[in-house]
Amino acid sequence: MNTERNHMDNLLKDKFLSFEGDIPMSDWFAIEEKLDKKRRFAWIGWAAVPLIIIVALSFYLTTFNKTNKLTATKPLKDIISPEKKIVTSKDFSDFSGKNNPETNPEIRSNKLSNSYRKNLVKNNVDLVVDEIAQETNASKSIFDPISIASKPITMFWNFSIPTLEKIKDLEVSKLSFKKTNLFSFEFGINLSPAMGLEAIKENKSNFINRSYFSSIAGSSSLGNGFNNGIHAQVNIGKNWYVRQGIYSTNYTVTHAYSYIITEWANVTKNIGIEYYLPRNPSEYEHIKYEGKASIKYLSLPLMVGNRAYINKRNGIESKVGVNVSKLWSAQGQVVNPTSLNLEEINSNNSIKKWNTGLSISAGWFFKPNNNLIFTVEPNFAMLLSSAKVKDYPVKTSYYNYGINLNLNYVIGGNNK
Amino acid sequence: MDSVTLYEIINGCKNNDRNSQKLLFELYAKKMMGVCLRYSPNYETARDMVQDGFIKVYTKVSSFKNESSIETWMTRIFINTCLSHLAKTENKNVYLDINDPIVQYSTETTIEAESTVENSIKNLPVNVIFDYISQLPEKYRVVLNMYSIDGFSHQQIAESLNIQVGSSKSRLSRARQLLVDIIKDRENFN
Repeated sequence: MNTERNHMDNLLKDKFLSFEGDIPMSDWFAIEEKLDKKRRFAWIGWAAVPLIIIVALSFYLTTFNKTNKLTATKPLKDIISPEKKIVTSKDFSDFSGKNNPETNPEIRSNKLSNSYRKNLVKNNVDLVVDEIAQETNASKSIFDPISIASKPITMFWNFSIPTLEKIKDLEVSKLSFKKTNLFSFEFGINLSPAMGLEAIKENKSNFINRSYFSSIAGSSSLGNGFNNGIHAQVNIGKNWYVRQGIYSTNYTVTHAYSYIITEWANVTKNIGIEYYLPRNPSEYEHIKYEGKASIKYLSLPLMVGNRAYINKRNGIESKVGVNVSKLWSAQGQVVNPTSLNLEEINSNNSIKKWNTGLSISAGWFFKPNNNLIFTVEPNFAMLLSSAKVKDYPVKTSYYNYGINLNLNYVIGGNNK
Repeated sequence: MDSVTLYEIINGCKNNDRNSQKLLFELYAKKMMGVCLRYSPNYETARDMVQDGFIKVYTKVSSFKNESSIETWMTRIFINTCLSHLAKTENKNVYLDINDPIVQYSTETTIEAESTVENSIKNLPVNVIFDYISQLPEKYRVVLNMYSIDGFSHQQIAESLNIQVGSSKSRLSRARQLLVDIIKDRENFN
């Protein structure tokens, strides 16, 4: 049979030119649902971008540094050689008289210590000297280039001269050099029970009755909530880090307002309330309402933090950051200061979809081992932009405070 | 459609406007359902294909450049969607083997018989022809649809289905034979 286009093909093509099939309208709703889902996940995808960048960068940096580890097979006296202009063997062999750096500050500061220190810092090397430290009964910490570089020179000399004298001819086949890993990577989870506070801060118009305003400004809608999510961070050295997270923030806020309007307000169209006249007690207006709202945000906190070590395992951690959050879902009621009542959240788009915020926290961290870091810290956060639409005459600010519980895992680096 | 033009609907879709997306669905859902029905093994699968196809259309509409009609562009997307669907369920389908009696019988089909059948195709309602094509094994039905009705070349079919050009040709030949046999059988030809 011929496989080229023939009359039968043309007949079929013509036949099916206007061929259609019935499809129920309910399929459109299924499509709509899928589109909504897709949008949500698209947002998560974008939100994950900075996290992925940090993870990728960290892995690159940690891997890169591992591959640059060198093993020295030479005696220490050759490693610390004249060619490198650090320390010569002469410096070790003659400590008498003017060559004694203990008694000669000039040598101590210029000839040996400074050059040695600078070179260590310049080459960014890390001496791994377990064996030497063991043999010489010296503290291992004196060989740590970071600590050497940061210590006063005199301390270096006080500790190191006897040790250096002992190890000058030592064969150190296991002595190894590696590039100092300036960066390391951490990832972790965050669990933060928190309290939310919706506070009326500012009356932006002259149309709100002052009895009402003073009442609602004096009280706040208090809620309870929970932040949780994951984060990744790049550590710079031992103390500093940049952290990016993806957190979910969920608050349930209870509104309970009760106030009495005791004045008549004289309102003109353009000016608003011009003056007030007292009411008779029988004319007092008692307004009371209660409501509840559940609001969920997806937030992207970007934070800079610091860990100050008290000892090897404990310290103080503090961080500050900015936070971009997007409204995920909202249900229930919120206060509408225009109508002096509660209204459904979704009916008037009264909650802003995008918000920016600030957060600050400080607390205690504990390292049970080299890889795990557990942090407990009080946290305070606020939204920079009002969560209400701009047309509202009352500005509302949102705060939350609580406890951050973080558990992080460290990969690579010299901050162990 | 009131005063909304197709151009406005497409632009609306490019801006993720839900009303425009709905209008596009209302305009082309039946037509695209027709495409999906031709490729799918049953009605329910065709509905799934239509849903997935429209999601793809809305996702990719920003790349539509008016170089072809929106219908042609959408049809291509829907055919690709159908092929992806079929590829996913390929192993679950049972194809007719060369030893199947109907296939053996088909090899006896003559050119004269084919010509007689062509007249029937011309006169039979489209739903009846569709019903006959639906009875073809999937791999033959797909090639027949792509080549005869949707105007793909054998090269394009081979690339889309990841088969040899020769396979595409032989499948087409087999599909035609089987279709002729089915029509002859059902229309009581001698």
